Amino acid sequence: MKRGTIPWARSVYSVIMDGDSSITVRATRTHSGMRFDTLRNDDDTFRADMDSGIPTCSCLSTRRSFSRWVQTPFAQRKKALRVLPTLLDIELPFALEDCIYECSSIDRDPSGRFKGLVTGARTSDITTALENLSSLGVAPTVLDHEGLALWAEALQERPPTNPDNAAPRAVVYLGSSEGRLVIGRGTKILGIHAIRSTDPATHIVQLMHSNISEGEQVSWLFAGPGTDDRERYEPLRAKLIDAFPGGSHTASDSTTFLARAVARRALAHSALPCNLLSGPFEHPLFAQRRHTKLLSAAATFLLAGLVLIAAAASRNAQHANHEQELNKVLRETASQLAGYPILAKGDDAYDMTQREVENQIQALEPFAQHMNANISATLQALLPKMAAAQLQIDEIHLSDDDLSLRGTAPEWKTPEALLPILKAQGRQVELSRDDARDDGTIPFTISSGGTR
Amino acid sequence: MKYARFITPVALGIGIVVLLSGMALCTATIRRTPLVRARMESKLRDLNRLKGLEQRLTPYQQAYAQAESATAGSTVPITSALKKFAPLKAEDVRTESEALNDNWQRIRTTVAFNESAIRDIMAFVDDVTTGPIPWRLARCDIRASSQSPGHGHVTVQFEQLRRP
Repeated sequence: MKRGTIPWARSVYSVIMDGDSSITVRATRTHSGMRFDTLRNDDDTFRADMDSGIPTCSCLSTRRSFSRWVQTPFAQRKKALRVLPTLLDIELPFALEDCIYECSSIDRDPSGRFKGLVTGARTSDITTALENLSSLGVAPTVLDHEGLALWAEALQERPPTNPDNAAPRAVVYLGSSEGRLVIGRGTKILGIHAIRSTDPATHIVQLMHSNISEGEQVSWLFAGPGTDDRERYEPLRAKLIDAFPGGSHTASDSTTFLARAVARRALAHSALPCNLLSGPFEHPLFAQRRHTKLLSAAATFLLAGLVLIAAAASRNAQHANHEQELNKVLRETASQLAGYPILAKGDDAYDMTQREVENQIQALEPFAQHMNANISATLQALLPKMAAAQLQIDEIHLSDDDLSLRGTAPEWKTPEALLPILKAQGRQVELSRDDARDDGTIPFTISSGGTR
Repeated sequence: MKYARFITPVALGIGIVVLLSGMALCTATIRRTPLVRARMESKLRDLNRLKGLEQRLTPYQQAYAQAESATAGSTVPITSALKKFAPLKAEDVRTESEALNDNWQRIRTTVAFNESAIRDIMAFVDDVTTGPIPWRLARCDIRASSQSPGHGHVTVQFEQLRRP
């Protein structure tokens, strides 16, 4: 559920003045919607709840407030809102500085220009209303507008069957002594009026004529404690339906209709929100909530900032650690290879280490040669093979660096038997053979480089 | 309190500054990451190159260590070994010495045989190149005799590494 004019509240008390008495309703937001509990006049339990922080709300009478549709010349919303106070000032019979006002709705009219519904009251009327409520021990958090509350509750209780339908509807609220009329089409308000107590029916019909054409079907909704007075209510209803025929409905729990309307708008979102306690009349709770919100935001920013700083610092530290570790390993490896500490870095360190390693390899070359090269094994393998293959050897030169073997073989392929022995030692060997001699033997030469 | 009304804006200001600082630091860290990664990769390549050098050097170091353990103790002179193969007689025996690193010496003994039985010479070579402190055969030149099969002129060069 979207929140209303007291967004943080889960419960509110709605106190409506009705003549010398008051009507009090407690509304509570539930999972399934909203629950309303009506308090008896002598029930003072809500004062304890008020002291414990449950907010109260009320509304300003239509008679003590104004509502106007203000036409602006602009088709841009921002410009229209900017110029609205000036146009309102022109329309009002008193200075704008002497009143509190609120633009509850701003819409484009058929000509494309914006038109705003402005409700408000003189500061003196607001002060008087607050004093009256104060005499009941009530300091409201929100002061709604009576007409807007009635219209919103009427739409809640009897929503239009077709939202695009511009069928006229009228909400007649009968207090103990006074009446109110809200006229509209579809969901749009046309006017909010206080009804005179003498001959209210004629007054209402006059007001209807100035807004509704003859012959239109009007949807009537009646509400208020006055509907309990049959002698007053029934004749009025009959006259109005006779003048403007259409559907008629008496609100359920009619007495608390307005109180419920104000309470509902405090807890849940309404299309035409209004709170006339603004500026110097703003309830301290709103400033407190703003203050708390700002502190929460500050704390959130601080926490988020600290988390980001910690994450970045941790990452940077990780990088630095890894790099340090790697530098250490590099330094140690280079120093170990070189045999002395290498303080240079990068390519310089590598070049220095490589020079040292090459020097070491050069110095250790005789040892590698001594331990690895094995000419005697080669010889020991060759000689029996040569004897077995009946090779006649004329010369053998064998060293670490080279091999040369010259002789004669009984057949062309016979010298090839020596090649595997030499190749197994890692020598690159070449066999060359000449044409057969007169005695049929084949002269051959095997030569190669070293084993390195 | 006199300054109570400043608490909220100051707190909000501090919060915003800390948040912006955190965001700036994170952004800077993210931007630095490719540079750091490139640096680390370069260092890893350097390490690989050093490991390559180590792999080249290790066999030489192992050979040196083997030489140290192999040459512990005294060795049999070539001339003494030759006596065992009498009547095989060397025409010429020459010994030369070459200084190496770390007080090591490379001793080379070259033995030349004239018209001798190649088989006997090979047995002598086998004896010298095996045994507790062997000599290494560094060179062998055989020129077969045209008159006597199995005989020839043979020159063998033995080598040993010693540290006095």
